[in-house]
Amino acid sequence: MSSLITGTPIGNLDTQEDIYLEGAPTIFVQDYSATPLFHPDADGYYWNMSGTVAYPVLELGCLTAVSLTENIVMNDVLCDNVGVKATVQQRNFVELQLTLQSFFPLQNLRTVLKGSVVTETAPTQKFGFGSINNAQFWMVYAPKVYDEDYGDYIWFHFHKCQYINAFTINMPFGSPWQVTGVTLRAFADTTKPAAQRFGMMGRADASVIV
Amino acid sequence: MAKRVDTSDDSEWVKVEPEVIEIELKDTGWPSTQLVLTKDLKLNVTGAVTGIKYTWDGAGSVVDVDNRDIPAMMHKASRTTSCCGTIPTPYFLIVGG
Repeated sequence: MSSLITGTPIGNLDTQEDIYLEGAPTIFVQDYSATPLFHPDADGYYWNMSGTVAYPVLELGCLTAVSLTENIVMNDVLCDNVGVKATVQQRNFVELQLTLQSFFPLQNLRTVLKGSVVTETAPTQKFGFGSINNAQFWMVYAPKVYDEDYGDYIWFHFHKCQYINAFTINMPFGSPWQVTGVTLRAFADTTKPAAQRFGMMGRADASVIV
Repeated sequence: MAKRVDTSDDSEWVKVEPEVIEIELKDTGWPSTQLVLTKDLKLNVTGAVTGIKYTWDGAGSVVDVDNRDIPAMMHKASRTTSCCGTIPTPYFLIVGG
C-alpha cells in the first residue's frame, strides 16, 4: 500500500543519496606524453597523474566559474508518417571551462595562455606570445574531495586536451586579475578504450562503496 | 695559446705555430654532481660560488654542477603553493640521489 501513498514505483529501485557536491575541483594538468598513474588500473581505467622530472604536473591555482560541458551532434530520426522516433547522438568533445585567478609561476600560466616555453634567469621569468603549438596536448585530472573527514572524493580525468579559445585577462581595480575564457577541450583519444575515449569520472567513498 | 719554436739559431725566435688546446669549461678540478631540472622552463643559473653559468633546457634536462654550487642550488624552490600541503617544490633533484 505504501507505493500507492507515496507514488513510489514497485520493484527494484536504485535511489539517490543525500550527499551533495559543492565548490570547484582542483585541476591538474600534465603533458599528454606522460602516462597516467593508473595505466590502466585493475578495472581497465586510465586516470590520475604521476609527476616526473620530464613531465611535471601543473596545478591550476585559484579558480572560479568552473563548469564542465560537452558538445554532441544530434540528428532526429524523422519519419514522415509518424514523426521523430529517435535522435541519433554522437559525442564530439568534452569541455572544461574556467576562470583562473592565479598568475604565478609563469611556467604554469604560459600553458593557459598558449605562450612559449618560459626562460628563467634570476630574478626574471619571460615567455613569448608567438604562434600556437597545435601539437601540444595535455592530460587533465580534476579531483574534488567532498568529505574531508573520511577522504571521500570524486574525480574527472580527461586524456587528451588542448587549451582552446581566446583568453581574456581582466584587470579590475580592487579585485584580483582574472584569466577568463580558459577552455580545456577533451578530444577523443583513440589509444584508450572506446567507453572512456574522452575521459572518465570516478568516486572513492569507503563508507558507501563497500 | 701560441707556441714558439726555436730554430737552429738559438739566438732568434722565428716561427710561431698555433696550438689547439681543448678546454672543458666546467672542468674546475672540483667534483661535480648532476642535477636534473623539475620545472617546465629554460633555466639560466649562475653558480653562487664559482660564478659558472649553468643552463637547463627544460624539465628533465641534466647538467653537471660544481659541488661548491650545489648547496645554493638545492635551496632554489617554489615556495608559495596553493595546494598540496604548501610544501616548497625544489627546482632540482640530484641524479641518482
